[in-house]
Amino acid sequence: MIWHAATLSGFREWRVLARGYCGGVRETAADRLFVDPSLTWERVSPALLIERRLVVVGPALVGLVLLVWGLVGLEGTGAVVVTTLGAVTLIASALMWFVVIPSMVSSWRYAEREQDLLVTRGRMFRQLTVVPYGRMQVIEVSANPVSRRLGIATLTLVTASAATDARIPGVPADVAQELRDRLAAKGEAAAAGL
Amino acid sequence: MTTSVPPAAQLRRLHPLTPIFRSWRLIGAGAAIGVGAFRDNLDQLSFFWDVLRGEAELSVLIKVALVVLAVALVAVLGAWLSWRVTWFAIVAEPPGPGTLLLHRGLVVRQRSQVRLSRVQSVDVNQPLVARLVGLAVVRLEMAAGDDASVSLAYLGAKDAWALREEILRHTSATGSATGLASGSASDGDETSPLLPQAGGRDDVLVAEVSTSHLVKASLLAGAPALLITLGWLVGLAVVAAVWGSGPFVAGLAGIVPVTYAIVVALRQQVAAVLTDANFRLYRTPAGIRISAGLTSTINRTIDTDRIQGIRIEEPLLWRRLRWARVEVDVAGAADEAKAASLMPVTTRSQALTLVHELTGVDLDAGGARLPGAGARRLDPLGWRHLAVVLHDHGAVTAYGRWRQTRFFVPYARAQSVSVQQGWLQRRLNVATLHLDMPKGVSRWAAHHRDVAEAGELGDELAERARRHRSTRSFAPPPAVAESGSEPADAAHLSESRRPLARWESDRSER
Repeated sequence: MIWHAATLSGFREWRVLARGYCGGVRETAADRLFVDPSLTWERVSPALLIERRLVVVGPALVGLVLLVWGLVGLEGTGAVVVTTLGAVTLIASALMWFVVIPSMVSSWRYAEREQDLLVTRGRMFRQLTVVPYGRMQVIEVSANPVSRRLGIATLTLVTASAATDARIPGVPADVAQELRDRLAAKGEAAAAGL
Repeated sequence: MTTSVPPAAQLRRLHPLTPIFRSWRLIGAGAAIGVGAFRDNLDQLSFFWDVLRGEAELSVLIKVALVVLAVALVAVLGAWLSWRVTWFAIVAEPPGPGTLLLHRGLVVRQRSQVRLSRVQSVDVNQPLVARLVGLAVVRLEMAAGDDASVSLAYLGAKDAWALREEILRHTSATGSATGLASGSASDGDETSPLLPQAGGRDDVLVAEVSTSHLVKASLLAGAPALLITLGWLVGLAVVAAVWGSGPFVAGLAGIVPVTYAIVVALRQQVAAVLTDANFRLYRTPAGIRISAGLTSTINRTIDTDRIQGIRIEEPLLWRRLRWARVEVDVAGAADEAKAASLMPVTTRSQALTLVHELTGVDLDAGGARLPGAGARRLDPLGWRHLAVVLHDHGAVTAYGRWRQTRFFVPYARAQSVSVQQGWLQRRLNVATLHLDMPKGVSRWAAHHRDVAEAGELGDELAERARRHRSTRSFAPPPAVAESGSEPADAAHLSESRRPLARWESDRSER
C-alpha cells in the first residue's frame, strides 16, 4: 500500500515534468493517429514505474559505489580519473532514464474495439498495433517476482506473425486475468485459421 | 486417426543404397583414423612408392586395410540396421486428410506423424552425389518452419516423384475435404485443378531461363556495387601511390574488409547462378513447380494457396532492359531465401503476367497513392519510388531507389496492422504502416505516409483484413464484386493457359 501511494504521487509529479521533456501533451494530428480520442483507452498501472525504475537503480548504485571507491580508496591520478568518469557516466545515464521512464510508462495504453485490440506506446518512437481478435493464437500473462510483488503482470498477444508486437506490461494482476479471459472468448468467437 | 503400425503392405522403405550413402562420411572418417594411427609409417610419400613397388612392409599395409575395413563394416552395419528399422507409410482415411507416418531410430526410437494437410510444399531434391546414382530426397516443408520439415533420404528418383505426386494428391484433397476448395468438384470444369493425375506428366512448362541470360542478369544486378567497391580499392591504391605508404597502411584497414566483402559477394552470386541454372517453371495441377540447379537440383512444388506474398524486383541496371525478377514468400520457408525465387530473371511484362496469373493482381495498375510531402525530405532519393495500391484482395507497396520493388500481400493473411513513427517522422508529420504477415513472409510496409492519410489507410487495411479473414489467400471476399480488375485477365491468358489461381474456379461457383 505504501508502495502504491508512493508510486501514484511519483507518477503524477514525473508526468508533469515529462511534459516539458518530451512534449507528450500537446495534441497533434499524430496524437490522434496513435491515440484515437473517440476510444476509451486504458492506461497501465503506475506500479510499472517502480518496476522499470528498479532496473535503473542497480546501475546507479554500482555507479555510486564506484564513485566513492574512486575518490576515497584509489591512489594514482589516472585510476581515479578513469573510475570517476565511468561512475559519473553510469549515474548520469541512470538518472536520465529515471527521468524519462515516467513518460515512457505513461505512453502505454490499450483499447478494446469491437473487432480488435489496440496497443499503443512510445514517445520518441511511437507505435500502434491493431490485433484482430480472430488472429490471436496465444494470450500470455506473465509476471516476474518484482511485478508479482507489485501486483502487476504483462499481457502478451501472440499471432502467427513474429512482427506483431502486442505486449501490455503493467496491467494489474486481476485486470490481466479478466482481460485474458475476455480476449480469449472474443478470439474464439472470431477465430480464423492461418 | 490411427497411430498404430499400419498393415505391412503399406510400409515403405527408403532406397537400399541409403545405408551406404548415409555412412560414406563415417567410412571416410574411419579411413582417416586408420591412416592417422599408422602415420609414423605413412608420413613419407615414399611409402606409397614402396607399396607400389611391393617393397613396403606388408604387415603395416594390412593393418591399415584391416582398420579401414573394420570401421567401414561397422559403419555400414550400423547404417544398415538403422535403415532396417526405418519405414514410412501414408495412412489415409478417405474423408479425412492423409497422414505420413515416419518411424526411425535404432537406439532412440522416433516416430513422427505428419498431417499432409499441413504440408506447405513438397520438394524433390538431388544433391550432387545422389544425383550421380539416381537417388533423390523428398522434403516436406511445414508451416512451422525448418524444425518441422521432414526429409526422406534417399529414394529412387522415380519413387521420389511418385511419392511427391501421392502427397500432393493428399494435400489438395484435404482442400476439398475442409470445404476450402469445394468449388472445383461441382464446377463442371473438365480439368479439375485439384486432382492431379499421376506422374507429373500434367506439368506444363511455363517458362525457362537460359544460363547465359541468368549469368548476364546476375552480373548486371551485381555490377553497381562491385564497381563502387572496386573504385574504393583503386582510390586507396592511388592515395598510397601519391602520399606514400602512411595513408596506405591506414587504408589497409579499409582494403581488407572491402576485399573480403567483394569475395563474399562474388561467391554468393556464383552460388545463386548455380542454384538457379536450368531454371524451369511448371504449372502443375496443385500449383506451380520450380526445377533448378546445376550441380544439385531442387524440385519445389508450391501450392498456389500457400503463397502469402509475391514481389517483383528490378535492379538498377535491369530497368533499361525491362527485365525483372519474381519472388514468392511462402509461410514457413523463411530460411531458404533461394527457394523463394519464382523467376530469377525474365522480361518485365512476363513477370507482370506471372504475378497476374497467380494473384489476379496487375502490379502496374493505376490508383497508386503517393506518399506525402514529408517523405520527400525524409528520403530524398527514394521517395519517388514509394507508392501504395489497394486492390480488392490484397495490397501492393512499391519502394526502392536502387532495387525497385513491388510487393503484394493478400489481406486474408495479414495478422495485424501496426503504425510506427520515429522522432524524425514525427517532425515531418509522416508515419509508416505495416501489415504483419505470418513467419516466413516479409513485413509489408507503406513508408512515410502523411499522418492524416496514415490513419485512414490503417483503418482501411484493418477493415479489409477483417473482411478477408475467413477467405483464402487470393480469394476475393464474397461481398466484393470483382468486376474492376477482371477485363485485364483475358489479355494475359492464352486459351491453353488455365489460370493458376484456384480462386478462379471458386469464384465461378459463387
